[in-house]
Amino acid sequence: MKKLRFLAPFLGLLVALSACKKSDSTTESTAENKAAGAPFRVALVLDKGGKDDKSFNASAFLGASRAQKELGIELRDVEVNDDTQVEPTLKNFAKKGYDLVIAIGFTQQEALKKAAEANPNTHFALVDSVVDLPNVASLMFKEHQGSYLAGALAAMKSKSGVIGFIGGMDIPLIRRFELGYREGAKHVKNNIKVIVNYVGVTGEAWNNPTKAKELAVSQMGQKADVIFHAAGASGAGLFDAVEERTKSKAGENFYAIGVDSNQNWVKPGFVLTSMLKRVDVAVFDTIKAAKEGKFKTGRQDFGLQNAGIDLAMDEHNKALVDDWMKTELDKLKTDIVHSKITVTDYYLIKR
Amino acid sequence: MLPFKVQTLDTKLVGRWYERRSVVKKIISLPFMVTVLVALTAGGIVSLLADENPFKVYSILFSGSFGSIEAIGYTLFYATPFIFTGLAVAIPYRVGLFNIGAEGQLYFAAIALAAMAFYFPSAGIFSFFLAIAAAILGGALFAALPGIFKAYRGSHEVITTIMLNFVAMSLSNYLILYAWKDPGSQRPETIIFSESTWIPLLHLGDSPLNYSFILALISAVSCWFFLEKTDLGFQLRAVGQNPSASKVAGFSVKKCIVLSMMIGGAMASGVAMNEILGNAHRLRDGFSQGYGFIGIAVAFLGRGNPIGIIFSAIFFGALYRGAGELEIETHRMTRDFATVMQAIFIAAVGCEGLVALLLNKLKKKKGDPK
Repeated sequence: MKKLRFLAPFLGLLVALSACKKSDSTTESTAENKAAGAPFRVALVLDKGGKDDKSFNASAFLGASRAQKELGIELRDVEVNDDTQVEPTLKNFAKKGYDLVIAIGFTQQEALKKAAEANPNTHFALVDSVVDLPNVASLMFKEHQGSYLAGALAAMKSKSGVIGFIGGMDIPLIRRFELGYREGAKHVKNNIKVIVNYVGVTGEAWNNPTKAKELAVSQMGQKADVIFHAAGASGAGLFDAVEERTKSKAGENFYAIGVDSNQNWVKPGFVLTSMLKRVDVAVFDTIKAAKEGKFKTGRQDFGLQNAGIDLAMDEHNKALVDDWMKTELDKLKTDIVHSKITVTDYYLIKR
Repeated sequence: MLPFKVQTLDTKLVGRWYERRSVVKKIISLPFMVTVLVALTAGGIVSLLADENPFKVYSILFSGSFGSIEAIGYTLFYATPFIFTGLAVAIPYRVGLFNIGAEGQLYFAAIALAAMAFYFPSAGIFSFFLAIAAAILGGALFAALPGIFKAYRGSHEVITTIMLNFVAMSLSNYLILYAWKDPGSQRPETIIFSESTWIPLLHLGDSPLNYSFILALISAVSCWFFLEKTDLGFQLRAVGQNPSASKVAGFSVKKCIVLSMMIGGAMASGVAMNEILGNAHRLRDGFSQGYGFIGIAVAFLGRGNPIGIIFSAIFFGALYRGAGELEIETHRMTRDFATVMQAIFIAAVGCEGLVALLLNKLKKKKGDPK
C-alpha cells in the first residue's frame, strides 16, 4: 500500500506529460494544414443570446453559414457570455491564424479594439459599433430607417389607433429604433398613440421572453393592436402573447412586427412583417470581399439604399399586408432613399 | 446539500486521519489520487458522449491553460477572484458559518471602491489607497452585518447573506444605471477611472494578470498563518469545533463570529480590486460572473485550507481558461464543459471520504496490518 502511494504523483505526472505531447502534435497538424493551402478561415464571435435567438445573432450566423456553403470557407462560431472572455477569444482566433474575425454586437467594441491593435495583420469586422483602425471594418446599420417603415405599416394596419413598441435593453441603439418607429407612425396617422416599454436595463433584457410577454399583454390591454419588438430573443414572448390574445378574442386581431431576421415564419398570420437588419448580407459580403482579397476597412453603412435594411414580405405575411400598403411603403422607401424624408437619427440628437 | 455531506463524511470517517497530515501529503494521498482519476474518467465519458476524444479534450484544456506564458497569465488572472472568494467562504466556515454572501460582499466592496475612484479621482496615489481601503472596509462592514445578526440575534447566516446579496447587487445596478452611468456608452457602465487608481499589470505575456494576484497569494498565506499560528486564529477554530466548550474556556463566541465574517468580507473585496482597478478600470454591470458562489466550490475543493484554496482556485482558473480554448478547437464542445468538470470534481471530492473508507476496507481484507 505504501508503495502505491509513492506511485501516485508519478501517475499524475504521466497524465500531464502525455497531455503535453498531445498538444504539440495538434499545433503541428494545424501548421501543416496552413502550408498545404488551407481554406480561408473565418471566426464568428456572437453576442449574448447566441445563434438561436431567431433574430440578431441568428442573422449573423445565417450569413456566415451561407458563406461556408457557397464560398467553401472554414467557419468557427463561438458565443461569448462573459465580458472577461471576449478579448482573449478574439485574440485567440487571431493568434491561431484565422484570416477574418467577425464580432457581433457593440459589447465587443472595447475588446475588439485591443485585439485589433495587438494583431495588425488579422482582419476584423465589427457589427453595430465603430473601431477606427486600419485592419477593422465597422458595419453599421440605419435601423431608424427600417423602423420608420415598420411604424408606418403599423399605423396603416392598426384599427384602434394605438400601437406598441417593446425594446430589449434600454440603450441608445434601441432608442434609435423607437424614434424611427414613432416618426413613421406619426407620418401616416398624426394622432396615433404609441405605447413604449423596455424589457430591462441590463444584458438580461435580450433573453427574457416572459417579461416581454407581460409587456405585450399589458400593451394589448391598452388597445395596442400592432406591436413592434426590438428585443432579440425576448421577442418570442411577444409572438406568443399576440397569438394567444387573437385566439381568445373572437373578431379582434393583434399583430406583431419582428426584428433583425425575417421572423414572419415564427407565427404565420400573426407577424405583420419583420424589420430586416441584414446582418447576414453584411457578414456574407464582408467574408466574400475578404476572401477575394478586397477587404474594405473603415465604416460601412447599410440602409434602405443598399437593401441592408428592409421590411420582410413573403408568403407568410402575404395575406396581412394589402396592396395599397405596399405601394405606400414603396413610396416612403424611395422618399427616404432620395432624402425627401429624413428620419431622425437618435445618435445624432444633441442631448 | 453537498458541502454538509462533505463535512460529516470528513469528520466522522477520515477527519482525524487528515488532521495529522500536511497539505502536501493530503494532495498526494491515495484516496485523493483515486478521486482525481475517477473524476477525470467521468469527464472523459462526458466528452465521449459529445463525440470528442477525451485525450484530445484534456490536452486542449491543459495546453490552453498552461501551454504558453500568456495562457498561464490568463489562468492566474481567472484564478485570482477564486482565491479571494474561496477565502471569503473558508474563513467563516472554520468558525462554523456558511457564508453564501461573498457575491454581495464583493459587490458592496466594488461600490465603495468605485465611489472613491469616481468622486476623488485626482488625488494621485491617495486615490489609489483610498479606493483600496474603501473596498476592504466596505466588504468587511457589509459582511459584519450578517455576523452581528447571527451573534446577537441568532439569525441564520445562510438566509441573511443570501438576502444581502440582492441588496448589494441591486444597489450597484442602480448606481451604474442612474447615478454613475457613462452617458456616452451603449451599456451600463461608469466612465473609465483615473489612471492613478489602476493596479499595475504583471506583464505575463499579453494577459490582464495584475498585482491583485500577488495580493491574493499574500492574503491566503496570511489567512493560513492567522488561523494556524495565532491565538485569535485558535479561538476561531475552537469556536468552529465546539462553541459551548469555547465559551466555557472563556472565548467570546460573538466576537469570533463577527470577526470571521469581517475577514471573509475583506477577502471578497479583492475581487473588486482585480476586476475594476486591475482589468476593466470601470464599474460595469455584471462585472462578477458569480465569483462569490463559485468561491463556495473553491473553498471546499481546497478543504477550507487557505493554501489548498490557492491550488483549487488555480485549478478552477485553468478550467475556465481552457474551456475557452475548447470552444475554439473542438467542434462539439462549448465552454459549458468547464462547468461540467467543476461539478464532477466537486462531487468527486465530496466522495473522497467514501473512497478512503473503501480503500481502508480493501486493505483490511487483504490483511495488511497498519
